[in-house]
Amino acid sequence: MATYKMPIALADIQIPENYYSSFTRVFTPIVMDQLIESGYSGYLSEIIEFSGIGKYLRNGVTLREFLDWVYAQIIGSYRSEYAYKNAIAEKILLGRHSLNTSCMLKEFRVENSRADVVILNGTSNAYEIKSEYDSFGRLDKQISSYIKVFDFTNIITSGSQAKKLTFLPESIGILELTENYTIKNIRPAISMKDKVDQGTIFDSLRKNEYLSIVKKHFGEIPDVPNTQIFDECKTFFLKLSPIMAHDEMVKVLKKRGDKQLLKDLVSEIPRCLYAYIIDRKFNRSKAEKLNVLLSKTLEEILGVSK
Amino acid sequence: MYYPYLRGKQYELILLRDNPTMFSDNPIYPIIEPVKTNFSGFTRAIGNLVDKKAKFIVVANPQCGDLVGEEDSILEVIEDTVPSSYNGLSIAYIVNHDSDIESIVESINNCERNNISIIHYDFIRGRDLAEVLSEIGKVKRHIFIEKYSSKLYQKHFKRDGVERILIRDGFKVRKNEQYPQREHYSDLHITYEDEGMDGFGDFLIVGDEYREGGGPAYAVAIHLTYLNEEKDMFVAHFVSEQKGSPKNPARKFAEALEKLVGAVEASDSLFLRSNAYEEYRRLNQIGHFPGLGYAKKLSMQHHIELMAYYLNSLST
Repeated sequence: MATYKMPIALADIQIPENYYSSFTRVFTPIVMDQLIESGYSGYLSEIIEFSGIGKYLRNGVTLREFLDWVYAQIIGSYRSEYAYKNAIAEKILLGRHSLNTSCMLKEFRVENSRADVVILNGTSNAYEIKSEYDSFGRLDKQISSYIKVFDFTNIITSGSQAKKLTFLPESIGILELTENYTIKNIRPAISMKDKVDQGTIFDSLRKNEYLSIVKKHFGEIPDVPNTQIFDECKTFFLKLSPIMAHDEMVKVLKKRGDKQLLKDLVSEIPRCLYAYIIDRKFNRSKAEKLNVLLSKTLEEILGVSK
Repeated sequence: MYYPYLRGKQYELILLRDNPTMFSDNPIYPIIEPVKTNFSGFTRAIGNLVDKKAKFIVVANPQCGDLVGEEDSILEVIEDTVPSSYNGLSIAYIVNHDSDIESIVESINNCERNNISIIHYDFIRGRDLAEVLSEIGKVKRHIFIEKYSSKLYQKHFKRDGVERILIRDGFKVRKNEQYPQREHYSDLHITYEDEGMDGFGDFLIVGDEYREGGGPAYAVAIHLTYLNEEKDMFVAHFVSEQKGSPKNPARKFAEALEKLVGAVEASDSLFLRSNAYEEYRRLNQIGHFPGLGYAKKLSMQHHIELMAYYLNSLST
């Protein structure tokens, strides 16, 4: 694996096959948040013990080394949705764009779907992840929602899955997460921002966001009781052209999240955690606690003794 | 005597804080289980109850929320807030499947207050516990959560001078969009004496199961309890028309509220026009959405006002 070196202490150790899905869960907010907040994780302790790898973790393996090792194993043998998200953060957000001008959102709700990743630079790019373990069952519905909101809509998947995507409309981009952990463009997405639906965009915005857009374009926020604000603002918003509605959305969405925090962190935090820390609930106090934990050994954190 | 069981979340504490006379002026004895690490809302709530000389019960060993295992800090906060001479306060200990008799007895003996309540969840060794506790004079009442304790279990604790209270969870939690228009709540306020009990209680319109926050609601539901002609208690659920997406909760609230006010104002209405209802009516008039927590607070308040109204109607 080119980008992910295994810590030497763990170089020959494999996660048992039936434990991959348990180990990939280490990167979910529910496990990481608890580890950071309490300094301990019962979940981590259990999977290390039950999978039988506890005995290899005696000799001062740090949390940082351990996470890198888990991630290297995941991208080698079990590419979960997290691996795709993290690859997008590493290779598209930080690789092709820059944190000065771009931002990444996860699980962005559009109608009854959630776009796995959205990247906002000068425009909007949605990425729907279809790992080898996902089916294409909901894809039609997801795509028909995303093109109502985003300029470029993409599917990112594995090489073998990519071949099956011939049924997609031409406007949808296809990307492949290759064997070598690079992202390859199979075909580019076509710009759709002149065809977005203003109402669907409006429904995806938060209150402070649509208020600021309405104020900017129509002078004042309508003076009505707060039970009617949404409907009143939507009436105004629908008067914007599709392109204008889209571009205003990009501007307000770029304000979500703490960009400075992310810039400060990318050099300190292991790359395998990028997709985890890109989250509106991640903040400076968590970052400080995480940094302390990363250099602790697993023995110190979990009391691994076996 | 009515014992509403409240988990000390933000709006439950605001309800207690803002309505202390509702408790002090009526035969109502709230049970408060603290669940939040930040005690400021809790101390203000019980401070106001003390000011108005209301009776109340505080659980010293919560079994849900952030304060599980924090008995010492809870008792410390109480010592700082409630004068030791105040006799309206009872300290409660929960017994459940995790409890052992020795540590419960130890906690009770160490407790500096001499008005102790025991709240019975799914503890099994009822007879043994009853025997040990019968020796301890400061245990003044046993509170049974109906779902978890059998009649035989409750019988072990029958004893002169010690009250027995039965708590029934009359509220059936569903997804908001799935509530029926009306359903039965409970008749325990009428029948508790037939059950051999000295008091009764419930979990208001929240239910026993503890939940944190929760995701965005697809529908907004407002719950309002009422008594029918026989004084049996029912609950009406007013659910918003829009329920397809998590958008625009303010509008959904307005829809549910419109239905609620329409039902209460109807000529054949059975609803009590409580102070909480008057606030609902005012919100409907001005079209204001105060947030879902505030709405829940109003529905809890309405329920307690209804119980107060019922209990007072018996004595006049």
